[in-house]
Amino acid sequence: MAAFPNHHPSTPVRPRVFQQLDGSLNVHRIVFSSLYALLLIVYFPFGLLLFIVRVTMLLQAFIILSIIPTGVFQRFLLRILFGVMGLVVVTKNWKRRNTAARMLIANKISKLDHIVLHLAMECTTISLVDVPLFSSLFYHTHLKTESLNEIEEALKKLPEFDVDVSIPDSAAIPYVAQPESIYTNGRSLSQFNVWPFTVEDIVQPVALSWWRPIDIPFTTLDSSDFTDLCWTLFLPLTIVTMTVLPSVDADDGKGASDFAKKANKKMASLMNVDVLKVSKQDIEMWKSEMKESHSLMRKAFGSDTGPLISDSQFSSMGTPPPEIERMTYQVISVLPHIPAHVIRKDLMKTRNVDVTVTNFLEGRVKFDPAPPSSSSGGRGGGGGAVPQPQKSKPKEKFSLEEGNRAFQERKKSLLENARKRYIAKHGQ
Amino acid sequence: MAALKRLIQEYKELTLNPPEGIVAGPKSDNNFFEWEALITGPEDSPFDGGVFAAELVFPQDYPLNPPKMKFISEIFHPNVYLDGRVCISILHTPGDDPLGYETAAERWSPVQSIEKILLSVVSMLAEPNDESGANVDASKMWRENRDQFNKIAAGLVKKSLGLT
Repeated sequence: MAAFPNHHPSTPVRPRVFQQLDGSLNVHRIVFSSLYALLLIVYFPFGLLLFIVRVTMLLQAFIILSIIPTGVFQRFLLRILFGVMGLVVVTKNWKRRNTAARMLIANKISKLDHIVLHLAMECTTISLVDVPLFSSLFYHTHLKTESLNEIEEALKKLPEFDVDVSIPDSAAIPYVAQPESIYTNGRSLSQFNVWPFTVEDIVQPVALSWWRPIDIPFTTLDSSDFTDLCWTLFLPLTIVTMTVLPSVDADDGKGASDFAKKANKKMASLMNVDVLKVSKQDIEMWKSEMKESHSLMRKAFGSDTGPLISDSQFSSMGTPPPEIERMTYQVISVLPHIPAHVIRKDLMKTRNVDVTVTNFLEGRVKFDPAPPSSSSGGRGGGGGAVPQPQKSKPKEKFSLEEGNRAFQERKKSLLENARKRYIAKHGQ
Repeated sequence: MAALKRLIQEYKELTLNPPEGIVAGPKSDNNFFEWEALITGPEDSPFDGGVFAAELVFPQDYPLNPPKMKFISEIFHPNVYLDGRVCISILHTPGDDPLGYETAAERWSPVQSIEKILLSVVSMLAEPNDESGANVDASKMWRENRDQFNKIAAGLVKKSLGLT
């Protein structure tokens, strides 16, 4: 019945969640097809110089940390020093902080978050899974839980694992937890782990966001704090903004997982982003797809002559496959019921989205709606010329030429039938 | 132009395989971006048997962005604004979520279709979502005074058929 099924059985349409992941996570810092790569090559000597100068400043930061006592003055000096090193931390709406909320909830934007949070305010960061190396060098105010290894194991198995964390009544500074399960790029929010919401009945979300003059991701899925730091030192400037958002209360009588969900939604809507509902498998699948297309692009970028890949689908055509892939998705978005391999094949001929769409709509391209065999790479061909899914029930005629008159008649007959039924049921 | 082609394709599909109780098509031959639809109220719902007219206006970049939908027939429903605009998740793009409770999967994307929108509206007629109060009075009445709500709906059904 559905005219546009989400998934035609033979259509390898990208899962919707992939599109969401595209905008939310990064696997690679550099996209090879973009201009940025060229820009980066030009920038490289300058960046290297900056990097070397800034590494020596890291040493000064260590000295400040060891000789000046922790406090406002130390933080002030470090903020300036990190600013010169290219990591500028800006705090917004600090005055709006609800002092009753001793638990702060921050999103994850890079492996340097701990440093950023400590530069932004006096706090204790809670990290159950791993305290990144550089953060632990700089700051020792991490909450330690007793059986870290056990918790790690349990967290791997069960994302809603409860951890017994408590804030001592005497604690004068806020505790910061980062309940997100993955590092997003600030354009979405992944689902929250529950443990930070078992501690207090009120939490204050703080939103971290970043900006760079060159659009190179702050972090990637597989990066370490070391690589994140190196890129920060290499690039001219990274501005991280911490915005204090209104606090969130737990609803009476509801559990920690409801509280986590409520805070998750609230924070996402205040940040004007989506909550990313994905499983680990989704991310793994997406990651491998990204890696594959990245290596294709890399090849295309490295050599624009000669055969790019040996895949039979792309045979000896000269157009780089990524371009065809992009166009294929555009056509699928208009005609979701046509198998991708058929679209791709036609695009190899036309190299034009509009022409291909017209070809399918007017039935000029014949294809076999059966799924392609995986080995052949799917050479459709033969088969029916009708792009729509076949229905067994008798069809009404359709022609655009009959035009509006037939539509008016169908409306009239629907209304008349409805009237008859109504009168039969209720009497008049 | 991809939008026009897709609209023609959807019109064809809807004419050849019409969902039960729904008729939809362009208002006139020379403008495919403004449609009219007749939707029959689902059985066992307060709107059972009524035929409600609505208009859909498509953006030039359809299907990247969803159409706007508005009832022309008078209707009293928690998810329909007083001016007839329909407030359901499938008509919102993933980017805008004014109420903060919809998952992105429920919202508009190019793989959705006019048919899916119309079927969503049918199920909306059967099961109002009182979380999103486009019409606060209707929401309240739906929750607190169902008999009164059903009575108003029955009146509108009769009116929609031109039988009053």
